[in-house]
Amino acid sequence: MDAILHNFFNIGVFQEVLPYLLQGLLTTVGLSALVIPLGLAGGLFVALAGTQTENRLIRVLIAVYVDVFRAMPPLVLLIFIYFGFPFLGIELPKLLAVALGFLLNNASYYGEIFRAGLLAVPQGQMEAARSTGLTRLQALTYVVVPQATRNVLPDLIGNSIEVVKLTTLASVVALPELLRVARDAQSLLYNPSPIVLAALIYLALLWPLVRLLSRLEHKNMVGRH
Amino acid sequence: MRALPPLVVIIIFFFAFPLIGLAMSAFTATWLSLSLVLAAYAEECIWGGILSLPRGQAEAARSTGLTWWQTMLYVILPQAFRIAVPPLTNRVIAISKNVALGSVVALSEVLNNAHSATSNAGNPTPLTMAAAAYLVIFIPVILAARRLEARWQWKI
Repeated sequence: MDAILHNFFNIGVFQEVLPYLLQGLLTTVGLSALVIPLGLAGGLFVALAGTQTENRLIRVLIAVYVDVFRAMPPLVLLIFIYFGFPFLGIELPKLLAVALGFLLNNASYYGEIFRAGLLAVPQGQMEAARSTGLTRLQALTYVVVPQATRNVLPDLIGNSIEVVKLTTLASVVALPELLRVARDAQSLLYNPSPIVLAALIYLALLWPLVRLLSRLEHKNMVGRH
Repeated sequence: MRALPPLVVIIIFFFAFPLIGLAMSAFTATWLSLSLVLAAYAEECIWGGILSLPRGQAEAARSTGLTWWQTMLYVILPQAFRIAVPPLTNRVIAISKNVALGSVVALSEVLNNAHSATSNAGNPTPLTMAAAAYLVIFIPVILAARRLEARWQWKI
């Protein structure tokens, strides 16, 4: 018991590393605030390109893009961008490499979610909007996309939670986000309490969102009958 | 478990547990963490499936004289599983991709080996090969999952 307290819940260590971890938390939150809107925008674009065009070639290209990036583990993508691109003479700063990797990965996930949402909006909505004199773009912006977003809101929230958790991958390329800071503190102090504290911070950050998500999902499901 | 990043769980198992005398190999740490995470998600999917069944199913089954366990086993779970198949396949794919996280604790899976090979060879071709390997493994899985979902779709 003492060993557990000393190693996992060492109050002295907690106090010592808390400022650093909060710094790391700030980076994690900032990174999420950067990559989630980027991913949402990219995903919406992918979904619109995939559903609103009759062009077979574009549709096939979009399907290939989505499948490839859904099949590729984000860590592989990130390492490929960060450690592979420099060989081509393209040396990206850490933040940019991470943002690019996440954009490519998330756009495919969000794209798939938005696609499901767009397909669930009845065709008549678009036709009715067009017949009132809205242009196609206006009809999409004001009529179809808002309904599609609403259809898949729980999935969007769920994926965003996944994205926040994925930001831990940035630790691999030494971007000083929460997990990285905690690991550095752990090796300096030779005590794993900082990682436990980081885990607690992640819990505090994400648990309310996970609960909210569960409620949204179950409300939808139970309401069906 | 649903709120914790899997990488954090793996790192706690691999780097923190040895200090309280619970050392485990990189393989065990990765395996154990990913299983625990998947279990949490699977619970959520199946629970969602059970909740979405009409209450009448359970009541009807009980009234025919089945015990609670028999009701669960023969009536509720088979239906709930079908409803839970699409989210479950998504989860299974997501978790299998997380095997790449094992490279962080030096598990010698494809990514880690490719990364070392890249440093040794001074050339990123091994990384490209690793990426291709993951695609070769997972694209069929994704396609199979789509077919499974289509076949098992609950038709009412």
